Amino acid sequence: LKSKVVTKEEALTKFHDGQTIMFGDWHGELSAEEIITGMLEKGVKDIHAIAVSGGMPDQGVGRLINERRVVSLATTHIGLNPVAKDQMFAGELDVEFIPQGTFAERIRCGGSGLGGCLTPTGIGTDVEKGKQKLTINGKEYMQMSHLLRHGKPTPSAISNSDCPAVRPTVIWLMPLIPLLLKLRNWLKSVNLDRMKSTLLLRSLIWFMSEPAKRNHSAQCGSVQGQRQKQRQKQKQKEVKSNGRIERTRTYCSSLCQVL
Amino acid sequence: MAELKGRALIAARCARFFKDGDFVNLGIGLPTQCVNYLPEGVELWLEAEIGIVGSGVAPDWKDADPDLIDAGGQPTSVIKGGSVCDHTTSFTYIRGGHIDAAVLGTLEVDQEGNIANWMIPGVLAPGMGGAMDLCAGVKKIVVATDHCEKSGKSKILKKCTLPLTGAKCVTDIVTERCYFEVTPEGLVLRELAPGYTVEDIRACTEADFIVPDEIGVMQ
Repeated sequence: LKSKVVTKEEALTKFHDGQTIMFGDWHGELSAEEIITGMLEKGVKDIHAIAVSGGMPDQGVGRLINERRVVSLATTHIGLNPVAKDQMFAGELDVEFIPQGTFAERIRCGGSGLGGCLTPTGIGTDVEKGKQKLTINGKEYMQMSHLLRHGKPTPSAISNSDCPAVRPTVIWLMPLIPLLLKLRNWLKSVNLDRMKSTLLLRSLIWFMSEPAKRNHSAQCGSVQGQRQKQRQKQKQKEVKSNGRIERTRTYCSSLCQVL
Repeated sequence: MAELKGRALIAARCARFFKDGDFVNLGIGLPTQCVNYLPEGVELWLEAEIGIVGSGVAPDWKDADPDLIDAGGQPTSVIKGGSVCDHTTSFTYIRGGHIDAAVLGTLEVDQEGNIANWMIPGVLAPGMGGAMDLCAGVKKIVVATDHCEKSGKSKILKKCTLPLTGAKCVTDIVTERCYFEVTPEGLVLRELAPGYTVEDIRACTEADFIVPDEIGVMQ
């Protein structure tokens, strides 16, 4: 029988950016610290974490949160990780609080092929908002779906309109449609100088990127972050040489079409 | 026995709710202290959310087993005859109504039996952990709390203002000043701590409560 035991190096090849990863630690205890160290060294980022707690800043999944590698967290409790709390209030970390029993059961449902189940937990509280409710034998229950997410890499925020993080931005941009249309006409008519077009392109990209990424790339001091910055610089250079104004115009008009 | 005061009195009063052999879940902090005041001849099966039935006393750090921790992540032990189970089974006990009583701390509690202890929007958001499941499934929810906040504001309200942890689930409220039972008619003042009068309680409690003919002494 083939052994399922692998080396740490082999195990680490399974981790990539944008994956949904479940962490087994309990307030940072009982955690796979070596694997987490490996993930930090490898530079895995944009993680969608499922963890019973936010760990501690120097223990468990908390270490990844501390390094801004986690973009979303499905959890029950982050009381022992003040970094996670600060990131949540700053809008950098998307935290979904789930009652612990519901959390455990949603994971079990996902793993055992169930779409979810019905629970009385959280009836009459904020947790029931947006959930379907049913009454069975006179007792009220609410529906909970399984907590199974597919570990697809996070799509680029600009190119993929399906990315949930983009939607709020687009909605926010809605009232600006007339303004954008004017901007398009203006772009057609005015011959922009270099300075203006650089600013415009950059600010547009910045607006369209998701908030977590904005902060992430700005503050990430890791090798990966630097590489990303280098790549961005290179891209911008290319854009320059290919006639930036033309590109900006196309971009703006396609944006208007999308809207 | 010396007269108990403050939090020790709360813990001692809560401990008197338990019968021998009860299966009990105690919240972190003050509720955990209840085990120190169990009446003679009463032994409990303590449940820890992490999946322990028969949680024991906390060992010294040097003897602690890093794989054996309680709901708060602190080292713990398992009593003779105790067992461990997985996370979903642990909450099967809780939600399924197999636990006799739970003692919880709180931020706010109101006269309808609502409890709010998991979040102050924009200020504090530790998360609800297992508290919502306890509220949903446990028959007897005892709230052990200071009567007032440090500012002097009553924690026992007419209506909770913070996001709820559980709706209409609290059965008893124990503070360092008195013990209220939650009934369908409202709060009933059952016992007073030594040195307090009904008027004292009225002055420091926002919620309405019923004063029965007989009021016991809390001990």
